[in-house]
Amino acid sequence: MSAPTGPDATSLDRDVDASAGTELPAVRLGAAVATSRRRIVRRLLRRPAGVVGIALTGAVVAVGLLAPVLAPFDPFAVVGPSLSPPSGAHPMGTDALGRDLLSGVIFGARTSLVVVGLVGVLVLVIGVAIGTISSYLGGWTDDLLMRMTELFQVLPRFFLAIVVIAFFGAGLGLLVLVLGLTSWALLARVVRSEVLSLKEREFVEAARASGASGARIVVQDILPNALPAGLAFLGLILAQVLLIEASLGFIGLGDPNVVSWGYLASQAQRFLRVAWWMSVFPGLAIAVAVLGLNLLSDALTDVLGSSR
Amino acid sequence: MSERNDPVLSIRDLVVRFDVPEGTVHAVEGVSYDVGPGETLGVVGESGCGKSVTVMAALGLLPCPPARVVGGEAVLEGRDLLRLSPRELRSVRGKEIAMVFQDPMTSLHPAYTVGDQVAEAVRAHDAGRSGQAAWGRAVELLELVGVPDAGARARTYPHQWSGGMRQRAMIAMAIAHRPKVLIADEPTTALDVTVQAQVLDVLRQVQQETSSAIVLITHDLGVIAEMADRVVVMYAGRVVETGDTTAIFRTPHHPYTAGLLACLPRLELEGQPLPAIPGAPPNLVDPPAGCAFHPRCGLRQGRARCVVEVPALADVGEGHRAACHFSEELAKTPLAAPPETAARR
Amino acid sequence: MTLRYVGWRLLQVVPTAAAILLIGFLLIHLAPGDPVLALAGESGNAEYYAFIRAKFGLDQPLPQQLLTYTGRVLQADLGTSYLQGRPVADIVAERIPATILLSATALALSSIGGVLLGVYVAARPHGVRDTTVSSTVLAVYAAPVFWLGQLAILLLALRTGWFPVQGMRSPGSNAGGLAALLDIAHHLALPAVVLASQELAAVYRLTRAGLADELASDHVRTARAKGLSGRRVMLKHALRRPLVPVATVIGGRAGHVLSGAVVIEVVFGWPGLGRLLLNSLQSRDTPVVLGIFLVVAFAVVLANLATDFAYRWLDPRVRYR
Repeated sequence: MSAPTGPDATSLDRDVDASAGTELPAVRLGAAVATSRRRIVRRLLRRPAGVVGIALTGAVVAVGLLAPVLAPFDPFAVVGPSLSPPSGAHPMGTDALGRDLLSGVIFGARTSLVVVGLVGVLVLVIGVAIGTISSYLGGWTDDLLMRMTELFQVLPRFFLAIVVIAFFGAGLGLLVLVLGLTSWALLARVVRSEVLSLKEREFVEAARASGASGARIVVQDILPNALPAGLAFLGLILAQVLLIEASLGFIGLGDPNVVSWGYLASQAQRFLRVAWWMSVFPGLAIAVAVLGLNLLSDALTDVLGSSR
Repeated sequence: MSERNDPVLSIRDLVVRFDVPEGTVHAVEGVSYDVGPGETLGVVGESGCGKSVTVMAALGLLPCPPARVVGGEAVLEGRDLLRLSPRELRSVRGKEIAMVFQDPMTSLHPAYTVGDQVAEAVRAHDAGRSGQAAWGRAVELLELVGVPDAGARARTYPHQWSGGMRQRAMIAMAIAHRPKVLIADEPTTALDVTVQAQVLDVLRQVQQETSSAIVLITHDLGVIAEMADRVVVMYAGRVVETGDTTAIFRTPHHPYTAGLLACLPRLELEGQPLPAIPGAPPNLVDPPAGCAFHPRCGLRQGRARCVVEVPALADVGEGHRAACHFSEELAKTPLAAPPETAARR
Repeated sequence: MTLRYVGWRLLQVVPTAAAILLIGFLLIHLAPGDPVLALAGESGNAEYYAFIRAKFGLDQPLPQQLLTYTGRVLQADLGTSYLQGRPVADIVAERIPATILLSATALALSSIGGVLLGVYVAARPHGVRDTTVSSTVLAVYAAPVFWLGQLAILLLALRTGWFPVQGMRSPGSNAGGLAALLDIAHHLALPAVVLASQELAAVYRLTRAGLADELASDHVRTARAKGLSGRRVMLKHALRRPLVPVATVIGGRAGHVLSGAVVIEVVFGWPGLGRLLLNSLQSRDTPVVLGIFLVVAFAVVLANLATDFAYRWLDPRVRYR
């Protein structure tokens, strides 16, 4: 609120956090990082976006993990009359072959969870590595890596995934690999700029003065502090990955051995006139999962931005 | 004060608060002052004392929320600005009351040419004027404030102008309609020392040209000494002292004013570190009880009255008022020698 | 924007374009089976394979092949569709106008709609209006585009009959002139609005955030102090700078819009690249799939380039440096 009221409102003491941050003791940062992490979680829970984001994301993860327990039927088994609307026996109805849609949606969560989780790991490893190396080494390495990052940002991931799958055949492993190898660019940029700005902060100076090596400073002191911002953007990236995975499933490029939400929605396309439920529930599931991730990263960005 | 002409702008008991997550900021707590036609009133105080908020509230330029104008009036020639509709207030802004802001680097729009922005000020209250005529007038105005080669420079963008030149452009905009009151909010603070004097000169010149009253808001007593006929000293959202410039500088009747004067650089003390008023400006979410200045006051000497009772402005001389329970003590034993040099400058 | 900058920026496109070509080349050679299959499909005509082999120099060493391939692609020779027996470039080119019509309409609608919504909300932030609009936009942004399409068909086409369900022209209609245009517009409305509603989120959020900053800025305060009308302050002074990143994000989202368009075309049976892609995938017509990838990738690179130039041109501070 300092901006809109001009120079006359600066006496509010709102810099308490910042000044506490700069007076960190020289070498032992572990404790400081832990408290700031706890503070981030506490602040997340104070925002509606944070609470809803955590709840939605948590629900999807839980359903994915517990799919075999939660699902009433095998998602591929014919268990009822075909194209029957939602009922007590089949809360989300059945598809054209008489398969239970609720079970499909529950197992679809598992598929999305696997894809998003594995892609997340790949993106995190590659993005953090490239961002850190780029900012730490600087010079031509930085230039080269950033040019490469720009290339990956421009590359239309969805279409690349389509050709790769068209050439190599559909499968979860390949899908994870393609999306993981092409989705890290944003994260690398965020990590790079975070590391660059943290390098200037006093406590890093202090660590350097106390004789710690460069690589050690990066791994021990800078990365843990750069990570929250990185995670905020990872959430956004994964939401996009989830949508791409669903779209691929929708145009028939999903792994034929597992149920995915996109596949379920593609099955609905031909029966829109007669079976609205086949479209409504899988799409809703995707929207919920993506919304959860988006809200979570929004809230995280918000929390991190306001604590600076 | 009674023999003066009727004031052109009169602020009466203005109260402005800000609602922030930490609580309520008591930014302006009952401020009153008058500006006579053609006079230059200096409003001085540390940043955060409410001196800008007062005029911004009068012009309806505060963002509401978080700002809230709780009470008082701001009377311009019989009309209370605080009770005007947004449309009516708009016809006052830039026409009858114009403003020059602190930072000329950010106060101009970076994406439009300077001439465009001055011409826009011309047309804002003269819609009948053609674009071409407004442009011509804009160039005239820029010449008037001493922009060299104004015709060509009007076609360039703010980032191609120096700070001093941009501030001249801001002044050109402000005087487009010969306003009755020109409010200059820290007009020289962001500028180099050499440029400061030039900009003040321009202000003086245009005042002669337009016979506007000037409200000069600053934290710099040097600027006040140079420009102002009368001074209003503000602290923590209140007026603590007001009077003719010479009287204020000769015989300050509020320890805060005295403290400010003691901080002025003086020729005979050159090379010595400047004294400063001990302590920091108060937190206006939870202002000190009684006199807001008491925690920093050298005159208080532990007396309870200062903590309990808010001192009212009282006459201490010819048109000279101060809000201190013990101002007569200050007159007897001044905390700081009156800086004659500054007053004479 | 100096000529030197234009040249330098054009030069920067070369490695990107090379990388895209390399991806295409690698796919052809890394894919299981004979590379000729990737260029000629699985039609099984030995004579034809020999022809393609010779044309793309598939008997030569790999570096040589890369050169030949690059030359072919640069001459817009993307191989031959085995399904239709025609050059891929021709087949793709036929479909481009429909996709461009859909994408461009959606892009225009989302840009205008996003900016308008941003202005509408920024005029009165932190109220019911803000909450309603922001959460709706967020929810729509999270929804997969094919689902929005299906819901639109369910509610606005099937249930009400207001809009056609499929295609670009009414079946059997051979009207010309204005009637044909109206017919196309009628078919275009639903897919374009659905695609736009999803793209709108980015523009909306950028506009709103930018306006929030600008409305608190010194130069907007100056504009207010001049006595300008609220509308003029908003549209001329506050909106000017946020429009620059908005323009940037529009170009930067070309890839996203095209991805969305492809999916939406499948939902609405719109006869563009998306339908072609789906048909080619189903019939394993790999040359066409690869051709679409190359065309889209180059289009995205060009859109980014155009965006960059637009950005330079819009911001006078950058323009004169």
